[in-house]
Amino acid sequence: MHAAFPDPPVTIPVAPSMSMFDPVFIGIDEFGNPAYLDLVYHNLLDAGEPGGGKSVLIQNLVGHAFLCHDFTPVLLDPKWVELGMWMEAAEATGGVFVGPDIDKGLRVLRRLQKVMDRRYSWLVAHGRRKFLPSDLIKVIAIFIDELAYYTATTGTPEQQKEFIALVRDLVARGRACAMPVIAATQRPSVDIIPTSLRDLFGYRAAFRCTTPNSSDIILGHGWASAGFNAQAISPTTPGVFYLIAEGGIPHLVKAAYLTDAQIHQLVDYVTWIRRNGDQVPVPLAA
Amino acid sequence: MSKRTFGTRHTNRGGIGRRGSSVTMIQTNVQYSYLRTAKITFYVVMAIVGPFAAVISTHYLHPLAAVPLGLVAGTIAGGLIACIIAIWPVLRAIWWWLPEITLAMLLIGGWVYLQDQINPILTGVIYASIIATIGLIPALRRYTLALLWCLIVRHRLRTCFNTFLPTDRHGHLPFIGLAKPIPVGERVRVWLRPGLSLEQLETQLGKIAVACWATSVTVTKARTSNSAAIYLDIKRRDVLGGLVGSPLTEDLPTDVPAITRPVATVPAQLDLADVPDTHDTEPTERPAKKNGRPPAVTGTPAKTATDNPDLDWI
Ligand SMILES: Nc1ncnc2c1ncn2[C@@H]1O[C@H](COP(=O)(O)OP(=O)(O)OP(=O)(O)O)[C@@H](O)[C@H]1O
Ligand SMILES: [Mg+2]
Repeated sequence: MHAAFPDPPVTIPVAPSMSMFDPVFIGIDEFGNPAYLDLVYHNLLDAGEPGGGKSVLIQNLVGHAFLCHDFTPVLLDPKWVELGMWMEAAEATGGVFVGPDIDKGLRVLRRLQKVMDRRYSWLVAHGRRKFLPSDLIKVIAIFIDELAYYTATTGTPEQQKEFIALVRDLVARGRACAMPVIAATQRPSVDIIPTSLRDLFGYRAAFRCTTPNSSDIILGHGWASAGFNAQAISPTTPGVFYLIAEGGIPHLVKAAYLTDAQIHQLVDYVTWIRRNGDQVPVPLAA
Repeated sequence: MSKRTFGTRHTNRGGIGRRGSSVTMIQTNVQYSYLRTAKITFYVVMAIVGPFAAVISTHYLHPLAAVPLGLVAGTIAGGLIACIIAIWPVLRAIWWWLPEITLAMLLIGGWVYLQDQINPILTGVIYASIIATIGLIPALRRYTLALLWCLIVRHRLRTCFNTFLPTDRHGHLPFIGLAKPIPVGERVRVWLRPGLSLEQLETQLGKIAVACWATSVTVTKARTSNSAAIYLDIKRRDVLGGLVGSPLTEDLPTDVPAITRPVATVPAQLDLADVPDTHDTEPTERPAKKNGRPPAVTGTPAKTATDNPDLDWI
């Protein structure tokens, strides 16, 4: 689906210059320094109570990703309102948006699994172990808001199981072939997301929780008693979260906030620069 | 029994027989004598430097002349180092007050200099206008205040280490390095002495925050290779409360045409009364279905474990 433009503008679209391999700005840390995240080689689990600010963090990552020349989006959002804003942009970029439709979600995940297999064959053929920025490979980032909807709410138990298995495969194998998974859910306890899936996420973002136990579920056992307790985050400051990333010790971060207008502006821009819809195939460095 | 002996120190202050030797003993042991250490160091340094200097000087002098020379060199070197150790408590106090001493010297020195060049009244005017400028320009004022807090916080930390944090048997305090302003407060470099660890500090952060008149204090390792070097971050201001803008849209062109968003049929009936109560809900959407899930192949007992909130992170 291509957006129609009645009168073409006079300016020439400029291709985005950022790369998915660049650090992503996510906000500021508790000392006021900017905080960055390395997205490509890590999977991020983003959890906390409703209204904690999970989707706002994801919007930052999605916004950055869409401004990258090497990004193919896969967006799953059963709530529509968050990642659904990017639907047109996703289609223009050659990606997919999935709403509250587990069938479509499963089809996309199966396709992704095939892509992953092919990417590994490419790596094997070149005697390599992972993709580098110099390969000019498209990073397929899989953003899932409300993961629990697909794994515990909708569909038949078989579909949910398959969904979990496919996501687990992506999380486990996707890192080296430039296919990171960024998932958000409210409480990733075992009845909603199996431990075997949850524990594969290397990066954790714990938004405000209602109990220290919930905080430990997200960050890992023992952090709450060591003083890193997401329950202690003030309910009056949404968007503050404990992040475990490089360094391995949680630190407080406040996510940047993209307003609706800013997101619309980004979507307009991204759709505009790719208005032809046909992707210039980026040659892989042989 | 041991409890009783301990108690005597406080309760039987005036008693004669019970002023247990144990208490006095401990205190003499604990007393770290800089003089004694200085003496030992003197001999050790002399024993090393003396022969070394003598051996070197045999190359140029007669061996008999080299011996007194070695003695003199050893005495001088040992004496110097012993001196430093003996007056270490004084040096340490100077280090603690070094920024204040420097500042005072600069102020007084500047005054004396200007007074000689021009006259005392004009000097006073210059000083007053400098102070007024700092007070009136907000950025300068904030920066000066931040620096002042850095001065204060070092002394507050020393009080902490002195009063409630564990020290070694000799009562050595950690070495408090320089403090620098950070957006939320101050960051102080501290060099821990044996007997105190980062984990011990972590348990006392609340008290340290009180002592420093701060919101909270965090402690982090300054280096991965050495756990004696730590940073204490004293937080007085909260930066997480404000709104953080995103830079993503800053460089976007402004004349981008808006996409035509598909105007889907906007539902108008948004209240509960607009959705009539019917019996035939779709079976797939019934929430009761979750409980009615057939206990199929594997999961019979595992499910019960998840009801316990303490176990569901497993
Ligand atoms: N970084 C932030 N800065 C300012 N406000 C924020 C921030 N993050 C969240 N908020 C506020 O909190 C509200 C809820 O945030 P968000 O929608 O991201 O929550 P959520 O965790 O995704 O909730 P849910 O689980 O219901 O999806 C936002 O609409 C916004 O008003
Ligand atoms: Mg959300």
